[in-house]
Amino acid sequence: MATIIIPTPLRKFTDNKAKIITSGKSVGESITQLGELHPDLSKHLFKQCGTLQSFLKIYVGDRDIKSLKNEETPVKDEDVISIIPAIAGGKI
Amino acid sequence: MKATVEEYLDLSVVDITKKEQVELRYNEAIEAELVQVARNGYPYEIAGFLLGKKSEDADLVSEVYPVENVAKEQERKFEIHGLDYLKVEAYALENKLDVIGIYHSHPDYPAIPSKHDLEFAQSVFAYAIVSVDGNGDTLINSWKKSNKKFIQQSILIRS
Ligand SMILES: [Zn+2]
Repeated sequence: MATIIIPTPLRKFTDNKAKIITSGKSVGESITQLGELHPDLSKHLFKQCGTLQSFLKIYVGDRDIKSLKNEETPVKDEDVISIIPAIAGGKI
Repeated sequence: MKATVEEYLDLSVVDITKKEQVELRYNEAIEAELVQVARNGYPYEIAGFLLGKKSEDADLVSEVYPVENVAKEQERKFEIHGLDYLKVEAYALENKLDVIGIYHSHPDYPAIPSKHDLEFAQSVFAYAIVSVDGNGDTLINSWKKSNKKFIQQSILIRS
């Protein structure tokens, strides 16, 4: 079980909910469950092949899951999973 | 800089035939803060978040939340670290604020969005761009992504 924080740009797919609790034991299970709860969100989270969209990052607490065990990173009840969109730009 | 602003306008990025209906509103103190961070950062781009309350007709900014620019070429790019993004969302939730948008500066470049800005833009956010030059002259324009292009959002400054 863990709490997932939905970033502002994706809340239109979660009825404006910012926090969603899932029962998954890993990041992958939690995010998959989130996609099942909110099917419209699913295609914004995953590519057709099922991997996470490249402009999104997932953190558990303050750690990028890439520095942990990626989608297999285990989560406990008190863990907070954050979905983070890439924020960038510039003048050229 | 080129001679006229028109020369910078890329019509594949900006749709000048439309205007955003929701107005961006902030007070003079917020405006002064945006100007100051852009001047302090010159000649590099700076970036941060605009927090406040969204309503049907207005994005009302009550707070500026500066973050570090972690892009490699900061004279022409900005990038916000995932951890800073996570912190701002958490801060907004704690304080019952909306993340209204993102501001960034364009040193020696007009307050017009670029292709690169469009690539990463989220339609839910307002994008305030602060143009700043070596004399400290500034101009702020705000934009929203709608149908794959930016459209301008009018700004109302209250005293
Ligand atoms: Zn830009």
